[in-house]
Amino acid sequence: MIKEKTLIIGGGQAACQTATSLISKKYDGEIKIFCSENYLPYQRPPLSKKFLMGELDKERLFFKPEKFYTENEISINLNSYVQRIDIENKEIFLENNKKENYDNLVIATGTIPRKIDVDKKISDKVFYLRSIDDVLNIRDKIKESKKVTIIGGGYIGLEVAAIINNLGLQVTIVEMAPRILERVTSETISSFYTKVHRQAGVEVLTNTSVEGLSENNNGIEVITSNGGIISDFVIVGIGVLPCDTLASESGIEVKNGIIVDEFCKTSNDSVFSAGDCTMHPNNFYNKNIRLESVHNAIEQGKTVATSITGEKTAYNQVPWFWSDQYETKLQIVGLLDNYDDIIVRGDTEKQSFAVFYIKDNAIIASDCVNRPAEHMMSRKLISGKVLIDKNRLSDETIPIKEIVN
Amino acid sequence: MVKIIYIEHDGTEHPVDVDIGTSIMEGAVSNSIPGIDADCGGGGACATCMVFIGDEWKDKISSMSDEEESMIDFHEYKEDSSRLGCQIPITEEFDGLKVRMPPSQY
Repeated sequence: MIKEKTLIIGGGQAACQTATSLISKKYDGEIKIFCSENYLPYQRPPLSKKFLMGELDKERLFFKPEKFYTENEISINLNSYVQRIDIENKEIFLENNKKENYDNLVIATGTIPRKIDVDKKISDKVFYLRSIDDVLNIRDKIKESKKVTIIGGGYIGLEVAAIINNLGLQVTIVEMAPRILERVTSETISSFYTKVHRQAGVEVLTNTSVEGLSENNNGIEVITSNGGIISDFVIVGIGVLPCDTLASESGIEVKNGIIVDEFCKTSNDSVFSAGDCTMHPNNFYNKNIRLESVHNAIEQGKTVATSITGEKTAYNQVPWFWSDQYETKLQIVGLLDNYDDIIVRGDTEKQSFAVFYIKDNAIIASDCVNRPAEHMMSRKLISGKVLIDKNRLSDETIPIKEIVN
Repeated sequence: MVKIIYIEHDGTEHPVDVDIGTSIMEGAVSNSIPGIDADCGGGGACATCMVFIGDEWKDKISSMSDEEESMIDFHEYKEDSSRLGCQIPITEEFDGLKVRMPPSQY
């Protein structure tokens, strides 16, 4: 009998989770993974943290050792670019006109960094951070440099700034918006992290847009609306774009990401998608969203596996994220979606506090800095849509576990 | 390498070799031991790698930080012997260590 065949495009968290979940569900079909990079599927969060710092070997980033794939008869194809998908004939095309047919296709292609226009002559001094190779290149560059400019004050830019500052370089962050992290969080958190970075010696420039890059005898100059900044190299972290071209060119519906339903099925019945590249429905916030998050990649990977095996368990999750900068661990749960009040519990000066975002007397999101208990409690309160007493929430004499009577 | 015995909630034992310097969590994940999820990959941010470690190992194991304690406090299946596997680096002393796992990490 011919076995059913599932092909997975991508080598990140969602791709690996899909395969792992299929194996744990004793899927008896054939599994083939196609990764564009030359590494076994690996974790990305440490790239801008411990791996950039040089505290982790790259092998420790791999989700699974090679023997996992061989023992479970998963064919893992590295350096393998998928050129085209033919959804009519259920085939994917690889380089050199090689093709592969499928019964189920999983697109877990993730995102690529948004680029800036740079003259070819200086492109070797402008870096993006998405892959192991990107970080290895940045690490080499750090060794021969004293100053770096980071374009973009989002989480990646800030995490990278913290590490490179720790490594002894002078760091300048350039942010176009009036405050760092503007797109993703509140004024409270933005000003907290601005202060943390400034105290560490990082220069944080907001309301500063980049007009161009040029090279002179002193290094590379970032020309901004507030003048020029000279450094040895530049890292750009201005957001990412979903890798959805492969899908859209094959006729699968996309709109800022590959559109999927709660079972992670695309507009084609045999094609599924998971991870950062999906535009998916979120029941909790009642809208379609695209998330850049490990948690989402894991949960959608699991969902795809259930869709393939026929169990069909719908994805239904409150998103959560984390960020490490200096001595602070930020844990985030929920999305800041039209909140009507903010409650701060703890002390920003002591770098130990939680910010709760409230809507109609229920918490819809929280940012917790060095406050794991508040984070864990928020998860319960948010998913349970529990009504809270705002005065109790800010009262530190009441333990967080007893915040709801 | 040391031998670690991971014990699923139903009693199934998985004796595996784990590299010194990695963590109890990594030893489970790289050997595909069911029962540890480790969503955040060792960031100490998710509390999905909780394990139970017998009292007899207490002296050899690094003590628990306040952060780890807080995360465990909210775990559905916490016990007195709970630890987060990602917070415990494997040393030579751990040869023969037995770790039990909860019925679920959620």
